[in-house]
Amino acid sequence: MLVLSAQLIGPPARAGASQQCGTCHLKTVALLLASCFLLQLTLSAQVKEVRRVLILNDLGIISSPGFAEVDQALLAGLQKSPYHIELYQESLELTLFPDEISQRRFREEFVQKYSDRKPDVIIAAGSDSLKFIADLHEKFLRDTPVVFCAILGEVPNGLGPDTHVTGVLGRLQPEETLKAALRLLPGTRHVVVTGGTGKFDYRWEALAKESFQKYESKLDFTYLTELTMPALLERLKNLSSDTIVYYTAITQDAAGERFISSTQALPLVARAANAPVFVMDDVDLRQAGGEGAVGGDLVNWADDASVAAGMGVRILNGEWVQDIPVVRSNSEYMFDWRALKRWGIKESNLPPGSRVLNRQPGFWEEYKQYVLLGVFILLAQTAAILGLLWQRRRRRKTEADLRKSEEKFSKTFRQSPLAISISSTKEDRYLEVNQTFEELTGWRRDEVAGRSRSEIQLWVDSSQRSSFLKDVVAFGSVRDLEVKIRRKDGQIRTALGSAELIEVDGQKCCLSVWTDISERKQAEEALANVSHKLIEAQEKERTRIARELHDDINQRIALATLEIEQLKLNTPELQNELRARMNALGVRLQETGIEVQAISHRLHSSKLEILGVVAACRSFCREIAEQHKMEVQFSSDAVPKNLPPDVSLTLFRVLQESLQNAMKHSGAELFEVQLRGTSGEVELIVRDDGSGFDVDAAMSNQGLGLISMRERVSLVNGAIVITSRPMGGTEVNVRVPAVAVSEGSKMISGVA
Amino acid sequence: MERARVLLAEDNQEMRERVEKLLGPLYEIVDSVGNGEEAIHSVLSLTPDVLVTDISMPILNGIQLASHVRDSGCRARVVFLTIHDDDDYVESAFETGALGYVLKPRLDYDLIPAIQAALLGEKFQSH
Repeated sequence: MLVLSAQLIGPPARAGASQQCGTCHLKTVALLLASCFLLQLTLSAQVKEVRRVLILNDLGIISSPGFAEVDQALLAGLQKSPYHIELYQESLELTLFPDEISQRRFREEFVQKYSDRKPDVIIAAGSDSLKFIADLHEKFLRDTPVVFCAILGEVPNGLGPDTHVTGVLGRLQPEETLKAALRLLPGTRHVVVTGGTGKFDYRWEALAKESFQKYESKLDFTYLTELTMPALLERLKNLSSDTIVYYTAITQDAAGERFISSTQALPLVARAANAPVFVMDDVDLRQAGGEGAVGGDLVNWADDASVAAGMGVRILNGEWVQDIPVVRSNSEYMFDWRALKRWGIKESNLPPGSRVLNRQPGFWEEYKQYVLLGVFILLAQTAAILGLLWQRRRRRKTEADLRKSEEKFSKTFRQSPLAISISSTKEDRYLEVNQTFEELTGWRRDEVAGRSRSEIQLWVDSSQRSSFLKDVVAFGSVRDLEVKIRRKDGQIRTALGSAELIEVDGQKCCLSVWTDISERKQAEEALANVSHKLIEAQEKERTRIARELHDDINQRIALATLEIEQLKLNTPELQNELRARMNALGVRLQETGIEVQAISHRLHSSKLEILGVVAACRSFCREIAEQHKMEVQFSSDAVPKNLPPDVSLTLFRVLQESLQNAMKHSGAELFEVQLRGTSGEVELIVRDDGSGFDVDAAMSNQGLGLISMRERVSLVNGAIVITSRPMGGTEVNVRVPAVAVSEGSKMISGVA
Repeated sequence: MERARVLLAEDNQEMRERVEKLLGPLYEIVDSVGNGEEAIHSVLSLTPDVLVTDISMPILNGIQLASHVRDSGCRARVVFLTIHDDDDYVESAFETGALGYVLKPRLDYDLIPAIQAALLGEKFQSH
């Protein structure tokens, strides 16, 4: 339930308030109504105990924006009460109806209204309201606790000893404002104090005057309080530069015209004055800061009201008023930023703890986020640009490196002493060749470029080319391949080369590098021929001598032996001594024959020719075993009977060489020889369990025995593999074709 | 009694004459040749009772000759006359189906007994 006084909801005030201020007050009223309504709704919903609170103020919320704020703060504070607040609001409207009749009528009405509806707490806002309550002496109010606020100076006289009063005493200190003003504007010599003719106005003027007394000797004070508003404004327009204005309150001018002090009179004064205007409370500053009101040490009525509401709640909650002491509110230095700027007052000179209102944010404050965002974007863009520049630089460097590399490759490619070609692996077409390639093949670059292998037919063995390309694709590279190529003029050359799989423009290509080894091959072949011829000559000579020994010398010895035998048979009368000597001669001749035969056998094994390779090898193994008193295990299997003589001789010589070497150097005690025929081949293995040796070193040291073996084997297109490792024994493995017969070898066999 | 027919294959002229001189009084020397190839032809055409042959001979050696004789189906008995005093030769010689193996220094003592043994189908070897 909400009860408002008739004055509040009556016709518009006769004060001639401006439309702007009227709107402001209407908003305040609406807020007040809404707040009460909400308070009611909330409390009724909870079905709480009811407590009546009566707010009485001096001026009314429309006549005074200050009291409007006070009532608003009281309402807000009372909402914290646990009770259902039944709120009543009354106003003395001293500025509108200060006359005795009006006040008496109000008093009678007030008594009539509340005599049978006793409030639980009365909150008196303003000195006159408190005095009004104190003066009633009505019984129904005697025990009612009273909380006051918005009162300056001391608690008014006339409150009885049994009056239950507490509250907040406002602290208005015009002297402090003057001190601050002198500090901010040290050149000040004149102080103009403005005021009105209303009852209310006189009170404020008196307070100011009292406060300024001690400064009257230092400063020139002018009190413009008995003027009409136009006259006042006119006076204010022409103030000297060392003047400040102190505005108290104007609710009525000398012409009797009424004003709402904060919202109507002060803005006119501040606008008209050509000097800084200092004010008394925060409401004034907020209302007229934009017009030039600077501020000062100001009373904050709303804060006082909040404290008073808290006291009211405590009383409603059951605390004794006597237990709640009167408190004094704190004033606060408050200034309007716009006015400071207007009057060139530095913020740094403001008293410590000053609050500056309406500060317009500087560019930095207002656009800080945008500036930071902008800077961030700028930095990000800069970073991105730098990144791009760096990338571009790196790319250019890479491109330059690539160009250099390509130039280097190109130069290397062109000037290489090796023949180089690049061909596609898919179609085997030549893409690029160098000058050396042209010299090697006789084909010019423009003749081979884009043409396929089948068109050029460079490789003598086309299947070798196919296999080569297949290997390059499969394994990525091919090394040390020897090929025969046909030059454009038909000449056959031998080249040794390697190849790599590369990618050119996304296409798989074969990069081949070749060197002409024809001369080297010819030299090697010539050397091999010499070697072969040496071997052949040696064999031929040995065979000849062996045959001479066997066919001639041995036959002669046999015949001589026979002659002696014949002589003995034909002369039976021979003396015994002579016969014995002839016998001895015969025996010596036979021994000589055996010796000659052995020499012949060593030079050239007649067994090899007559009995074949198996018998010859077995015999040799047996002889050498007896000679060195070692064991040689010989085995043979499926060896063709009629092997070509050169093949037999090769196997026999390798056996002789390797077994003699093993006997001499290996330190082995067991030797194994295997001779066996496989499909189209005869394999000879000579193995020992001796100390072994470094084959490569032995080969490079020109070990004639090993080289000779290799040469012999190559003569019959065979292969020899010598495997040996230190302390791991040695194995000589020879494979020779059972049918291949070279011309030279035939010649050897023909001598037998 | 009809004399046995002997064919002689020996590449050494002097030795050949020596053998002819030794065997002439007892056997009919149907031919005397200097190499294995000639011997084959003579054996096949003259069909001797005994073939006395050296081992080491040009073109075709005695072992090969004896093998051919055996393979040809000819019934001539083979007696080797050689200077090879080695078991491998002896073994190879008898593997060809020969019946005699006479060492040349033992010619005067062993050849006739070897031929006689061969004619009887018996083996003979010089020691």
